[in-house]
Amino acid sequence: MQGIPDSQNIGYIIPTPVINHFLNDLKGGQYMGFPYLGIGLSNTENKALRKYYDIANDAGGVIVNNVMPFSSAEGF
Amino acid sequence: MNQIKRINLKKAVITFVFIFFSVKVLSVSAAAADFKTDSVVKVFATRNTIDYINPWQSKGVQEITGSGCIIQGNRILTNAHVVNQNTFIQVRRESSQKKYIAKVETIGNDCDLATLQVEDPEFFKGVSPLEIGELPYLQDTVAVIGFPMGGDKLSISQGVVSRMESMTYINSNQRLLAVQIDAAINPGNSGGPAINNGKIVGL
Repeated sequence: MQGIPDSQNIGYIIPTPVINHFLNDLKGGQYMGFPYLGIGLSNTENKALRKYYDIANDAGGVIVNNVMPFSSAEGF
Repeated sequence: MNQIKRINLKKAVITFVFIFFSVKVLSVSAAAADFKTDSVVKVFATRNTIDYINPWQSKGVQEITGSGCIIQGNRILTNAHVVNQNTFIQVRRESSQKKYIAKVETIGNDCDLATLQVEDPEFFKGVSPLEIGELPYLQDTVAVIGFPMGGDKLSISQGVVSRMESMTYINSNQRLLAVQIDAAINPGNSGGPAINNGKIVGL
């Protein structure tokens, strides 16, 4: 499927859930593709950022920075 | 006395035969090679890529080869990057020297998958289409079959599943699930199946 320069013994294959999604999609006659949310994220690793948003020490999660207009996530 | 010897001999023979067969069965399953390779095809594609920087011209005609596999319903499953922006596609079975003209049925550039169809029913004669299996586990043996660079004939390399995670596909820049394996994959392997227990576990 793809490779990384200077890497060794690394090869990528597309797993069957993705293949099955593609083949099931074909049954409808037209390929619609994979859905995506259309949001921009950043992780919450930075200490200053965590303090700014008042995130508890044991809390995880990500920050949604932007939502693309007309995307699936718009309006949520 | 003679009879006892004969019985012992019989026992020994049975044991030997049993061991022989059990070893044989083990070696076949361990090699993950218990499948027919006649469904793997070589894909010859001619493409004329659009030059987005100079949109009044194309990048010129290129000929590339890849692999593919025949699945249920007389379809050939391959990678989208093998056949995208094509002008002409031919496919060849492993056992044959004849190339057949193929057409793209569907192309999914986001998941880097495509299906091809061959009009001539003669192409699919006697083929045993590959079944699509389940998601493998880490360290599961997989055999990668295809027609990579370095020769013309079918090549099988083997490895294990080393990692599984969602990652960005080069073809589409979209994050989807991918399986990392340590089997040798080279240009031309694209579209060829990765097989475990006789079923496709990846492409």
